[in-house]
Amino acid sequence: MSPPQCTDLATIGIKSLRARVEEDPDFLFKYIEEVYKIIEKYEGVIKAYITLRPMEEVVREAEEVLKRGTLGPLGGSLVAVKDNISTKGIRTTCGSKMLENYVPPYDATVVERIKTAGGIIIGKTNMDEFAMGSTTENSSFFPTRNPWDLERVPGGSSGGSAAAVAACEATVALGSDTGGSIRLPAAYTGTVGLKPTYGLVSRYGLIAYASSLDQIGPIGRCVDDVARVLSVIAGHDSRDSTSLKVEVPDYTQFVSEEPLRKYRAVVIEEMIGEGVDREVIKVLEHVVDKLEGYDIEVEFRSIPILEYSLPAYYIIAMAEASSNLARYDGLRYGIHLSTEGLLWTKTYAQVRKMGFGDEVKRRIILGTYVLSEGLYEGYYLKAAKVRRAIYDSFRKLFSEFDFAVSPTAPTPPPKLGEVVADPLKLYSLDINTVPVNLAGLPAISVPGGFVGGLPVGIQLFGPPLSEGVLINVARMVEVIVGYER
Amino acid sequence: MSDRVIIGLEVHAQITSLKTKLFCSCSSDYRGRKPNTNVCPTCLGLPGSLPVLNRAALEKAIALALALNCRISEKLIFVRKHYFYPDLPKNYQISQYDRYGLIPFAVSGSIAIDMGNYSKVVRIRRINIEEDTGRIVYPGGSPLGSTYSLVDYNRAGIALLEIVTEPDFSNSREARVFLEKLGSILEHLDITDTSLEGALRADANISVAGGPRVEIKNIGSPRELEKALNYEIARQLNILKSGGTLERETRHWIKEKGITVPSRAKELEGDYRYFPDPDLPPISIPPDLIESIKRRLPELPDLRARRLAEEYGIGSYMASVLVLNKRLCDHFENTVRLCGNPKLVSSILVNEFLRWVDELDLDLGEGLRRLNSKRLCRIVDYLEKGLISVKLLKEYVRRVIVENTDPEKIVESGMTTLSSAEDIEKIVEEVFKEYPKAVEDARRDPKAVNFLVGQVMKKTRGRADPKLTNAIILRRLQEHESG
Amino acid sequence: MKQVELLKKLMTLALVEVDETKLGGILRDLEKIVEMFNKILNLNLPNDLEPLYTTYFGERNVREDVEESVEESERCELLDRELEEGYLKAPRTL
Ligand SMILES: [Zn+2]
Repeated sequence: MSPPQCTDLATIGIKSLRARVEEDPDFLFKYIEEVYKIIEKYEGVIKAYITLRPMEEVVREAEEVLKRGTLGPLGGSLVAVKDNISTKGIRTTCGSKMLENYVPPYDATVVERIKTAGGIIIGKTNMDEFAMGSTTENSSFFPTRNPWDLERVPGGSSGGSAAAVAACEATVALGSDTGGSIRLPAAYTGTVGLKPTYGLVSRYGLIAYASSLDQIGPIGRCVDDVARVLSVIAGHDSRDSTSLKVEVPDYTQFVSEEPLRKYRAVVIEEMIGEGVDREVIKVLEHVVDKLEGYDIEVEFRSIPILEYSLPAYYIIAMAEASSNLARYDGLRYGIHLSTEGLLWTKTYAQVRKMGFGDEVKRRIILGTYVLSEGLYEGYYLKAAKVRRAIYDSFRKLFSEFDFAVSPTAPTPPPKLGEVVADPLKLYSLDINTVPVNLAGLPAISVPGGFVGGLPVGIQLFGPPLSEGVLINVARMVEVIVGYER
Repeated sequence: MSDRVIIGLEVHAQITSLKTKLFCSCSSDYRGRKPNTNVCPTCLGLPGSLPVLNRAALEKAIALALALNCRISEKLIFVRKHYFYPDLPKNYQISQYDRYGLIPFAVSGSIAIDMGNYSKVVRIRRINIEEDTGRIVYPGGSPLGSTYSLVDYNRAGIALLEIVTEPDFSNSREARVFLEKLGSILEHLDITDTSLEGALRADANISVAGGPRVEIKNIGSPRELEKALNYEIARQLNILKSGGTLERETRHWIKEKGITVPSRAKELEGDYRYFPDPDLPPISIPPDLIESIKRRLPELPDLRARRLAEEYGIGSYMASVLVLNKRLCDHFENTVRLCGNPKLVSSILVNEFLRWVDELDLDLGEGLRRLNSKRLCRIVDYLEKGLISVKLLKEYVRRVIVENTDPEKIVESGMTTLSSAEDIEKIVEEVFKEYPKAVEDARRDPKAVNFLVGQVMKKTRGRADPKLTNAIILRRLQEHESG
Repeated sequence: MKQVELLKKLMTLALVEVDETKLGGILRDLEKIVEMFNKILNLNLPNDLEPLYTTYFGERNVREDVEESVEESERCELLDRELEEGYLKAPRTL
């Protein structure tokens, strides 16, 4: 179940790749060559990358990895990195004209860890500008196409990362998820995407969209790959004040086809309500039926407050975004304008007019609106209270259940241009993913089947730090729907 | 309408005793470095960078809050304050706020100031911990007329304590004494070296004759504060007298010219869109941390003044002036340890030294280096031995400070009291011969004696002991009469 | 029109500009989104419900007051701009 771009060799996962390279180091070069062959053939259409590193550079780095003696847990995997994650010496645009030529002078913590673990950065992937969008059509440069159907979007905002992994243009990828930006593209491209518990993975070097919601996470073609990358990038970082000081397990121990213990699962009625495609619900029902076969009890619950999660989420995200994006004034980095003679406010306004796209401007304006004098209490403060109510509801829910299961997205991937023009339609794609970010919970999207030849994702989410459980269940879903890897 | 003046202060004190900035590990010692070399991704606000609080900054802030009798919050909640300005790398400043359930770091404190003939308790509204901005300089030296500006971010992110008072001052002098006292407290707590340029800065809110509040920014020292306020009060009264109206505005103090000018575009003011910084989760301030800092608090100015008055027998006002500056106070105690005479030493420091330092616009530290304990003791010694008079002593202090010279050198130049009666006798004789008319007058009118004394002084260039001179003249006048 | 005034005020506050011709379209979009936001205005929540600003549940993360040694040359490269005697050129401020 791979899209047409993939070959058997290029579909290989980290585990097999590592094993083959251990046996025969030259295999790594064969593999790299194969991936670049696919890129040469299809990247012109799919357009997953904003910046692709030349093969020679990647080969040179592969040689260095092989020289190290120990292969490292990622063993020469080609890692595509979303273009909002800072890479020292490699242009990092955040999908925006504003940062078109910005080359970070430092590596994000996750990039450092990937490199130390023997991963090789293959390129920087396309995304909605500043991660604001759900289809990757809001990229300042070009849209990315869904490898399963080139007329359709790959989801967003980590659409480039998901498309690169789905089309076998990389082994695995890093994305970021503020309201579904890893899970939605994973669902649309038939890949596995994991958004960790808030604070499990360092945000140092991640260009902020909404700091209290953002998390970096892995996207892979199988649960095992995602577990391996998570094991590498998770863990405390003293450079991030929101980084948790917790022991990080080797998550591959949870990649089991059988339940590791007795689980109780819940389906939240609001997540299969109005607006969710009937066919998508059928896919969910099929998966849930099969899970019950593993002696997992599944119950239904209603959480009425979730009706307010979309406004609460967008108010908070836009407020934080308006603040996080204030620094882009063209002075220190990014777009540069001659400044002589003009007042700073005029210069800044000009830079920001040129550098930001419409959706970014919309969100900055609305974020400014909800934080402004007189409106703060009604919007921002109220949204923070709704957030507390949602948080509390989930807390209660997960004192009873081990995980929840839902469709990741309400529909299969839309066509290019189908939703992007209407902001409300666009925002409603996130209906099932944003509550998870508001509560800081871990979640995974795993392929659950197909509707009309298009992939549909199943979302599993649980209490804080339940990544192990989610990986275990996601692996079971993989088996259920026939992924064998 | 009265000319009543109401002043409130917003003081920014750098925590200069820290080794690093507030949220990153760049050096806090930014002065004298090449521009933009004391920076990192965090204090430059590079995309993706994050702040992590310097623990020592919190501890210093707790010490200040305790010293000012403030109530310390249970949690430290950082917020972002938004405005666009080239010296602000993220275009927001990390600080604290007091609305919507967000809380300042500490509230409701006080500082007592002694104005000599009255004293006053100034209320402290709040203390916040925040980050400093970069520094802007202008190619033409001044913002007026420069077509661009130049920014140095070496200072960006330095830890600041913001101390806000209630509008409790009714004149510029009170504001100055307050700022000196606060500076001294910060010095005693080893928080701020106030002698460093820009380490202690103030913004003043001032309202004259019930008019609107005008904010004056960029005031660099207590002395400047007094000057800026005097200028602004005069400016506003002038406008009112000529029938004009005042508007609520922010003005910039331009030290070099001694004037205030309007600043910052108005449309950017007022709506700072505060909200809790999501990069910095609230930090609880445990009571036992506060307790342990309380136990280690050093002797502070008020207690020290009381001790000085008791231990050295100097007046309480004298003591209160001394403790307005820690280094001055240390200097006093060191000097007295060396040569005793606390009353004389304190009087020299308070009445003579401070006057000259102010008049010459001299840095206090430099002044203290010039009038160091050794030199000061030497002068005291000269007076005790009768080598110089009190009048000459003042001249000695002046010259030591102005010329940065040793008292020995002044002695060598011959400027000493003529203490032998024989020497004075000769001069008096000369004067009697030269001014017979004045001698006649002096016999009839005792007030005219002063003229003769003055002539003796003139001839000796002030070196004659005045008491002795007076006695000799009176004796001679009597002799004449009886003779 | 009142809404246009508000929009312009916000754009001044955020220093974000759009072409005059796009103003109407933007305003329509914004109004739709604000309408979606307004859904929470009339929601009744318990009075004592504390707002939640972060879901971070770890212990406090602070750093020790220790300087990190970074090569000066590396620091100089942090500003990718032409400098004037080390200073960054910026617009007029008065
Ligand atoms: Zn720094």
